[in-house]
Amino acid sequence: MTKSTLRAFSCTALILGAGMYAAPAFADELSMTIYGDGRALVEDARDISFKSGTQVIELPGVSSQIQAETATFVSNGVSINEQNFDFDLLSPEKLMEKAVGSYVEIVRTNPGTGRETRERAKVLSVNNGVVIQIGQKIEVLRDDDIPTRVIFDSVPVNLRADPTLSVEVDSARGGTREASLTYLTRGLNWRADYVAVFSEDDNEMDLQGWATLTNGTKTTFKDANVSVIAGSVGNQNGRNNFNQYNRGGFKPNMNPRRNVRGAGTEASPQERVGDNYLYPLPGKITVKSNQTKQVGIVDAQGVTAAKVYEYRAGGYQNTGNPVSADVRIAFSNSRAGGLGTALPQGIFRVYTKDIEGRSQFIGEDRIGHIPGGSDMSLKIGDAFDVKVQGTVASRRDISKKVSETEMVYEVTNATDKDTIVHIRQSLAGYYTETEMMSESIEGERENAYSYLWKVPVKAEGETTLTFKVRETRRW
Amino acid sequence: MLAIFLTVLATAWGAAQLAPNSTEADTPAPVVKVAQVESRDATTTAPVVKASQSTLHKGEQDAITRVVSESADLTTVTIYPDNLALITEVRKVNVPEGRSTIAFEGVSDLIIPQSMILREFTGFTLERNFDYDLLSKTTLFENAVGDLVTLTRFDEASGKVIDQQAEIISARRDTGVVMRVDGKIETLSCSGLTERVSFKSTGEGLSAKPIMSVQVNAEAAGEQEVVISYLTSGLGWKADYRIDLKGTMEGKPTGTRKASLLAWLTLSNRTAKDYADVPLAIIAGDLNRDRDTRAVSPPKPYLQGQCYPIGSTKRGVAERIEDYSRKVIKTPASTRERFEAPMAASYSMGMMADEIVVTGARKMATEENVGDYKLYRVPGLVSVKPYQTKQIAFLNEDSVEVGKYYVAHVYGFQDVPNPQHLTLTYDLNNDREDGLARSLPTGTFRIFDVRESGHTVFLGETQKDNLAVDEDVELVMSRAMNVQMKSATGGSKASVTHSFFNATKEDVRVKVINNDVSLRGKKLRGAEEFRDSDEIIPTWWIDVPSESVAELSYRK
Repeated sequence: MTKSTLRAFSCTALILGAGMYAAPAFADELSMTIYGDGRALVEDARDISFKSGTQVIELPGVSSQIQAETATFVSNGVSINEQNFDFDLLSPEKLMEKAVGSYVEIVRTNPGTGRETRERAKVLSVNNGVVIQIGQKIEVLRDDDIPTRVIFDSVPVNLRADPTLSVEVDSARGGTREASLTYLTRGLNWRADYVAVFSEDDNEMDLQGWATLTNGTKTTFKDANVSVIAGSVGNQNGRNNFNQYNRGGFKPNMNPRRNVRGAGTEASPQERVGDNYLYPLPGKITVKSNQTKQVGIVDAQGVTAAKVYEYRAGGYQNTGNPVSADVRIAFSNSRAGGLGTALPQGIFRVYTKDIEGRSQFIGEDRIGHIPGGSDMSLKIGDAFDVKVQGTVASRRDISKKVSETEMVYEVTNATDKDTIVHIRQSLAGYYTETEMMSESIEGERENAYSYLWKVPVKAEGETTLTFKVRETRRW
Repeated sequence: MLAIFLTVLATAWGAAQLAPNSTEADTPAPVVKVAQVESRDATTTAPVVKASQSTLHKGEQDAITRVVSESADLTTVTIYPDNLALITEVRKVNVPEGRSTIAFEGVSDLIIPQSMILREFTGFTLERNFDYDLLSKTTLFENAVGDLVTLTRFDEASGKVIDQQAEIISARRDTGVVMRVDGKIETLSCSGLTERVSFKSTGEGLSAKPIMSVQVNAEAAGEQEVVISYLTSGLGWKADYRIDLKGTMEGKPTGTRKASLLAWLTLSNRTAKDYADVPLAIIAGDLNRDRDTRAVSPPKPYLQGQCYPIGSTKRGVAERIEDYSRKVIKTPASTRERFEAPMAASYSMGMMADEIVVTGARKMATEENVGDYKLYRVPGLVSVKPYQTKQIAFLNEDSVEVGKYYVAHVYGFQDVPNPQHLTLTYDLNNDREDGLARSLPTGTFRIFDVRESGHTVFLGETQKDNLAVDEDVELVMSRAMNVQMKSATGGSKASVTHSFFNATKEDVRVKVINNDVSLRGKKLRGAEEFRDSDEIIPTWWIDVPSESVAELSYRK
């Protein structure tokens, strides 16, 4: 509800005068629930003075991206006949189009003398140019290039300065009652932005999370109770998370960045709504058009966190050059880890202190909706000094279905600290059995398709991991 | 607030420059604004609307103090590759007890608002806002809806000037302006008269500069020194390496040549912000980035589709304002860019005329570690001006060692009857023991030599990824003109002879790599003395004397 909305509305109302339209009050209580998929639920409660019988209630100042088909208007003793959403906005062109068939005043200024002549003219057509009739003569407006003002008597009833929902209702009785308008709108969105200040020496991080609201509508929502929903709701607007054909876009429940390593089993303290969590934001919040607004939702100190170097090998391949290992920050949003809260989808930005004690940005990763107690491993960048070079040392077919491959991973560490690099080897897919014949460092088979070695590398040193696998194809 | 008159005929920028002088921006003491919006709304709506006065939250909305922090006392800048920088600013703010809004003016115009952090603040942060509507022609009109403005009309021919009071009923950037004048309805810019609108104020919360604001709750009143940091687009750097070969090859052909190495960090500032005398650091490394971490693109600052159609019979089909936008879409890409991105065009034009500053090589950036990246700290204070490119040396070595060889990639046992040109490769010794032993951030390596006449000659360039200390620095240049190879198997599938032809005046080294996977781990006989035992992939080194042919034979 902007002040401009209000003023425009008051103008409209003045023009309408005491006609058949009831004038609803300014929103008395505005509530918004913002979903992370670009939609919001708006609950707009207003005091409205109803007359007895059939009438049209105009509700100006609704969201410019209202999904009118989702609107419901509820008040005691009122039943709805029909509802319309008018988006015929007041503009010079619309003003002229609506004037077709009616009279306007033409003021011409004589270029020589500056003298003004006023005439009444009837607008005949508006089609690339404006054709008007003055007396018995028909002419094109400003065809002579003489400055000509057009003065309209009034603003047509259906032209509005703001998107307006109108509802035709039957009211059983007259009087001022509270009515509530509820609708979904597009153009409002939110996601979380996290600031993690990571200390490698202390193996912990301080975490702040902000709900970042963006209002892409042309409407300002003033003094609203705002809640945000963490989680995904069904959305048939091309964003359905479960629609496999809907590619593109980030699917917050699909672990697309592979940074969730263990599913959590801890309930979060927030209010649950459906299968999602609801975060009520404190106080009354004004969300202006074209504004980015942030409100804190998470604040935790000393969360246990560790840096991990990880290299994922998709197959048995020569990398050609040494390839940087991932730098990852591993932590759990469990109570034991010091966080104990679910994490709504958003972007994690990680900072660390340099030797002068200044905070430096060291990378970011995007997370989906994370239930409490999950094990996370966020990729923040590629290591400058820790690299892995993979080389196929030999490959041999034992028989038509059996083959042996020997891999060498040279892991180099140019830092001044001893470290451990996780090398995760993807194993062949369906219908192939992989058997580890020999390995220079003992690893563990994580599952049918993955093998993990934790390779220790000395400071300024190099460790070579070699292993040999036998693959048996089922056909 | 002062009533000031701004004319729209003045450019938006002109208006923008006027604004801060007249608003609270220059007022050093905090400005208290007592819920102006509320009271105005009440009066505006009184005749028609039964405005409910019983709002529960009325009290807390009133009297939120706005504290303006105009500029930073100390700014530090860290520039990342790929158009990103971290700006940290120390600012003094005088906050009252309780709730207040601190407006941080003069942040980067390409700020990434969601990345902002407020530190060193005693109290609670309630919310933070970034308004990307700047003071512009459009926002002046949009914010003046419902206000009285002065409409001035000139008749150019007669010189007649008329001032009228007008109320703006509707103003949107995509539809135009409708006004009420003398109780009747008129439109702006449709009459053919020269029309001007004067506003009484610049409107609520509009600023000429981007403002990041934070609503806080302080436990005690007083001056605090707070730290804000945020990421911004528009700043970036790249590395360039220049290798100048010196003297002659020692111990031909296996030896190395001495060379000098000079490496520059070239940083560019494409923001409008002037960073004067700042501590500057540059971070090298591949940070994980998200595509949503980028600056907000502001709405178009001009009004479109302002008028009803004003076609005339002489011009045939009328030119509607809207049609301009359609035309833009139909134009070829190059023209479209000019239209659609006037800002970008002016930036790039600015770039051409850029001042390029090269600091002396004596002012060298020093290397340290931060996280898993390299941080280059530039000594002293540096100024980075808007749209400026600046170069800072970070390596200046007089005596590095550069080797040179030709690479032949072969596969299994195959005939290559037509001569193939080998690949000229230089090799910079970056070993920890006897080499350069420095981290080399991603960049372009260029190699130069000196002719006998003393003139410099350019030998080629190549792009390298981040290289750690002790890592091989293979600088692959080009196909060599005068060193070639043929292969012959003589019909056998288990043996091969490679012939190398050297048509140069110097002895050369050739590195032969057989990429056939099935040969790995197998015993290959013949040419054992040339075999590189360190390499898993079968590799041989062979010297080819000047103007000679050398052969390498091996078999399964």
